[in-house]
Amino acid sequence: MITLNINGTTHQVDVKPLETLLAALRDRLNLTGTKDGCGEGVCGACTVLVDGHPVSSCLLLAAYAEGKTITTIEGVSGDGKLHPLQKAFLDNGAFQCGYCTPGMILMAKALLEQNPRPSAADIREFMAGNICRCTSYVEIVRAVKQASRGLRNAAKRS
Amino acid sequence: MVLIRHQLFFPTELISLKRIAGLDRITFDENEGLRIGALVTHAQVEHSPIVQQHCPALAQCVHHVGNLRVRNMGTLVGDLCQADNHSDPAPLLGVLGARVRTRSLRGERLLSMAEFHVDIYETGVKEDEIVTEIVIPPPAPQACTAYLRFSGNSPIDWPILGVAGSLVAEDGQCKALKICVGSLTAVPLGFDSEAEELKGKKLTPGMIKKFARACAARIEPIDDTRGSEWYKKKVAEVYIRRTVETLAK
Ligand SMILES: Cc1cc2nc3c(=O)[nH]c(=O)nc-3n(C[C@H](O)[C@H](O)[C@H](O)COP(=O)(O)OP(=O)(O)OC[C@H]3O[C@@H](n4cnc5c(N)ncnc54)[C@H](O)[C@@H]3O)c2cc1C
Ligand code: FES
Ligand code: FES
Repeated sequence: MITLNINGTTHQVDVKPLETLLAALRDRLNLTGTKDGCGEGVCGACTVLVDGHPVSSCLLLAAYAEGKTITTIEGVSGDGKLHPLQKAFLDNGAFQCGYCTPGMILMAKALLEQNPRPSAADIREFMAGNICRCTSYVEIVRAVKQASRGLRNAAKRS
Repeated sequence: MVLIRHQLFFPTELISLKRIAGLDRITFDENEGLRIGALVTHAQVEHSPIVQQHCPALAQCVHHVGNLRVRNMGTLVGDLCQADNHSDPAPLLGVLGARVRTRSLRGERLLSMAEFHVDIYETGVKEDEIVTEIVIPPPAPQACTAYLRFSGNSPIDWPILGVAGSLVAEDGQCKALKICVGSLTAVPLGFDSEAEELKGKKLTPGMIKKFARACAARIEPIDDTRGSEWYKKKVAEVYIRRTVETLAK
């Protein structure tokens, strides 16, 4: 039995020694927003934030995440409102099937926390390890730019 | 983890090193040089001011390992211990004269990179040992170091080849040159005998070209999905030449 802190809630989870965080999230906690793509660290569909850093949950043992703060796509919106990144992805049509989108949004969230004003090149460099097989990366870059503007304006207002 | 996911490795016991104190450190001292503990991730190596000051080539090299998520989780020591022959840092640590410190109940050992690399997925670390750190000696004064990699599909892919070089030159004359090529063969390949020929000579474009050709002639690359033997030999010649040109600039 391990204790995982996911999106601000503590969960007691019974996992096998070699079970990945991805399997624990999806199969034991029913947090299926985190997707299983390649299963080997390449595609980014399973991206979650661990202590704020993007990692592949398919390569992380669930036991290793004990004591750390985990953010999944389910923890990105708040108060029933979409996160500015989620809204920007919708506004810009930055997905088709949506399979890569949870990972893209978490990756972009980590980027904007480090660099609130990224250039298109910064976005491409930071998100190079997240692969989308159906939409175009142009819309994804545009959405991240829109969200960065929105977040900066919101920060100015508050 | 990669080996488990690829079903190449089925551990019956798994021991986490996470809570062993001191393995997460990066330090530098004039005697031993740069020491990078077993729990230090690629991202921590890349952004460490100590690494950037004492071994900028290593900080630049690990920036090219896989993608950001891999660099946030994977350690430099884990990269070496996994002993995939496409490791980026392996050839660079070769030219830097790095050593691997192991520990067991029997005591400590320091392995040279030649002793460490045995075969693909095989190292000189014994079953009862763990690697505690990598030790990179202080560089010779005026030594410049470079690492050039080529990955055919996309920049975030494993390399087809990586060439590391280190050069000490005086008035354009080669005093000491080290070249080590990774990815092409089971373990990184050094070219000390070819480099010996250049000692005391001026590094003209013609000399560099001849040197690169001689090195490439000795490589017997593994033919795989990243390229045929013939293709890899050609790419090696070009990248060895470019590495020496970069160092000689
Ligand atoms: C998608 C992807 C792309 C990648 N691309 C690249 C690339 O371009 N270039 C590159 O160089 N690498 C690349 N890698 C490899 C990556 O660098 C390694 O997987 C990672 O660094 C391993 O570190 P780890 O700490 O997770 O080790 P683990 O996966 O935990 O361990 C790997 C092996 O080393 C052993 N080991 C680990 N630490 C020790 C120790 N202290 N003592 C003894 N044995 C130990 C383990 O038992 C295991 O056999 C890639 C990996 C992935 C998943
Ligand atoms: S499913 Fe984890 S990176 Fe592809
Ligand atoms: S929207 Fe389908 S993979 Fe990206």
